[in-house]
Amino acid sequence: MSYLKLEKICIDFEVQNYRQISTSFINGIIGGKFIGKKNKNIVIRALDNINLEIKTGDRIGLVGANGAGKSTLLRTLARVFKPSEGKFTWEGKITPLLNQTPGMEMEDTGLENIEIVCMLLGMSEEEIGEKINGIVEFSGLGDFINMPIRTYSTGMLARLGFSIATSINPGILIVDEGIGAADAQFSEKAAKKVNELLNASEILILASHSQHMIEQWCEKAIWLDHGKIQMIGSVTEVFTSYNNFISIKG
Amino acid sequence: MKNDLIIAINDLKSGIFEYKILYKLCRSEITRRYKRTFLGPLWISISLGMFSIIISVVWSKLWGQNFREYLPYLLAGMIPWTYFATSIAEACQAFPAGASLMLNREYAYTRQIYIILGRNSIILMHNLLVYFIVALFCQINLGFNTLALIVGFLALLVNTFWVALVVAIYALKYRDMAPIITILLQIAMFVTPIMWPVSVLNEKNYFLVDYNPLYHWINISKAALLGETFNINSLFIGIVTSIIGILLAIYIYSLNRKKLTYWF
Repeated sequence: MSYLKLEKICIDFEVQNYRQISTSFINGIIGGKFIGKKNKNIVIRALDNINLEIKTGDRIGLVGANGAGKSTLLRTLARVFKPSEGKFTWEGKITPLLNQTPGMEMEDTGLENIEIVCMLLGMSEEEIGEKINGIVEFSGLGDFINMPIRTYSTGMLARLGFSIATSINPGILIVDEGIGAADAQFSEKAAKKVNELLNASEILILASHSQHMIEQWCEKAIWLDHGKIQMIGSVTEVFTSYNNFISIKG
Repeated sequence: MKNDLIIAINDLKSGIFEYKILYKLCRSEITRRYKRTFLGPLWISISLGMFSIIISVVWSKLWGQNFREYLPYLLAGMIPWTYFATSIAEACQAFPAGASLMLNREYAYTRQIYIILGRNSIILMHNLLVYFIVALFCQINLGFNTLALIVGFLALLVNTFWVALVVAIYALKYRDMAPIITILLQIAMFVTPIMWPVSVLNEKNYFLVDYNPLYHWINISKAALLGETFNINSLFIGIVTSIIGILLAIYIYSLNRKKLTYWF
């Protein structure tokens, strides 16, 4: 039984020592809301009064313009940003899949990196032992797995990162789009792996600019704008409104 | 507030239980440091060794001390000192070093401090090996008193931990902490009797040493290494500062833990 409950959550960022910024710049088309100054620092409200209840089985897509607060909301759900206001309660294992694979070291071999990153992602020694061969095989890097990753091409690094990231046991899966970057030969395998992973998750929260991706994976969607929830509903409902809004705004 | 304190204490506790992960991380960090070098980890011993030998030659002439007495004295003080100083200097980057992980998920952030201490502990062990060779050569009497090294190391470890945690937090928040710490460490190295023996002090100036906690933290280990009985006073101060320091560090950590990820 997993759930995530956000009550009146606000996330504020204090930007130090930038007193000369004009308000018109801050209240622009994208980005958070300028809510005044505190100790001579500018405060930007990235998420404003978020109320959400997410239960086991929910597959939720997150849509919105750039700077709407999607990544911030994902990070808040991943417990990276603790709320400035409001209450956040949850139960279950939070498994974030945000853009970077943390802890990759250029001088270490691919194999060493797999071990370290898996450990940092919370896998036990037994789990790593079980999965490591699978990860190596899936990456398709062959003997390169024993070379330092500074010798890898960007595509190879992406494959390695992807193989590691998708080997986790998903619980409450929080995904920021962008983890799917890989070359053509990899894509079919990758799509299948993502399929498995997303299906195995108890809760899925996926942020994406791709309507197709969200329609494929989610049944509910949240439209975020300037840090506020504009609409929660079925994927079709939300996209109708969201697309309308975009075409009107021009 | 109470909730924050509980979370902070749990953080500190998790670090200790994560020793397997810590060991793996520390080991790979050290081996990584020496990849593509031909001297490898020998560098650790060489840097300490060269510094100590050269300083000993010069200083023993300056102060009219016997080289065979001064060299072990210097090393016995330098080894715990470098442990402390390197840990505190590295603590300024403790959280930035873990930024990619801290922005990815929540975990016991004190792990970043434990990694620094673990890494420097491995280096300390390395340096102790060097010391024991020198001690043999300089005919130091290593008896039961040397067992006190365990106590000395513990006192040093705990006190270094709380100072490192406090430094790490404020160094993340304020960018001028790092240069300030560098300066303070440089001053501390000269104010604390590492390169000079306490005996050169006038009795009325003993307070300079008595009220310097660093002197006490280093002294237990130093005395043990030199085969001398350690000062109970130093142990007492070591314990008291550990307790007060840990409580202070827990309090400061509990106040700031929620904000750390906002400061990157």
